[in-house]
Amino acid sequence: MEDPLGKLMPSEVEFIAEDAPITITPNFQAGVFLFLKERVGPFKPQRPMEVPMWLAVSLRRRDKCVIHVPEWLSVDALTTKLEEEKMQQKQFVHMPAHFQEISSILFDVASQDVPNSEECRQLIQAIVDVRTAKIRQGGLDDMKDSLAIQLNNVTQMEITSIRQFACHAMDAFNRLSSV
Amino acid sequence: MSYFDIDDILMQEERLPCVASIDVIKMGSLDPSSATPYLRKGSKVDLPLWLIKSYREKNGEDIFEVDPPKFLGPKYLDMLRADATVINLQSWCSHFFSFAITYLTLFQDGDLATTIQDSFGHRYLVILDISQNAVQDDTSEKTRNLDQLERQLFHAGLQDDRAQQQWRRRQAHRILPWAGAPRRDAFELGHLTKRPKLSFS
Repeated sequence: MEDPLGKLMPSEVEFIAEDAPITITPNFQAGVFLFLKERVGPFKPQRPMEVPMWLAVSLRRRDKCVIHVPEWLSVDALTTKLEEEKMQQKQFVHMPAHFQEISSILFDVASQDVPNSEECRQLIQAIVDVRTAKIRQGGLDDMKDSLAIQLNNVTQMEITSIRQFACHAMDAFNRLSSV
Repeated sequence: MSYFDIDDILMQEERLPCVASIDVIKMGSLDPSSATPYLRKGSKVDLPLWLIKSYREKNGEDIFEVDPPKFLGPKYLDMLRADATVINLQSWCSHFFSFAITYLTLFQDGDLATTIQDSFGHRYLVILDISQNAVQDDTSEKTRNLDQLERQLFHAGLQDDRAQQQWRRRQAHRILPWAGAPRRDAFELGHLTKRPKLSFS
């Protein structure tokens, strides 16, 4: 069966995530940038401002700004989230939308801006692993007994990681239960 | 499912043992031993599912008494009930589940339906396991026991997993624009007069 949403690839989800705003401190002066979707600026040196993620990445690659790492991307915050995530058996802890993508981009482009980046990376990976196991146990395993599964607080990337399999499985169970 | 779905066509090629319950006119050619143009009442023929299906849909009454195929017989179903996960369904029938579904829509059978549903439920968990943990490239060993429907499911899971791993290693694929997006010429044609330009001072 063809997936009605097409094949949304993880890199496309990352592309969507790059629209999220992030705070930067530019080190240059410039007027307003006109883009198709929005206008950004004016840029003043040492004046923090919000820009879309993709622009922040582009500027950071040219060493034109410093990225302010979001609050949730710190060892303390992530450790708390990981503990909460482990505490709950079935429920998912609320994580910022696109946390996997944003952290992955930041580790890639601006690892110097992230304090304790290696530790953060491991914590993110641990949280993702716990959540993946929950999706498997709470969602996919139960699919054989019910025709719908509910997963609250699951991010778009996590849905993408099971979309094709889940669609095929749902289709198969639906066909089997119709006879 | 489309009319030209190759899996559907292959699945309906499967033959079922049938016994003619009336004299069938002009169907003598179905039975090679028949000398007359009639298919006599009581003669045994193996007919493909698509033929039986279209007969049943066109004529209200049953021309044939249809027996289930070997792999939906009691002996095989007992094996399924014992442990569905170890059975090589590919060797029973390459389109086992699709066939069973079509067969069951023609000939309602509650017990059979339950057995098939339970078997798929058990086998589904195994497929979930192997598709998310397929490390090596050669998957033929793992899919050996699966029927076509299960293979499609396995490959869907595999693709999900591969795409995810690829992204994690940051080996992104090239994102292509939507086919209906405005082309670059739009700038030259004057719909969009200014191209955004990044300039720093």
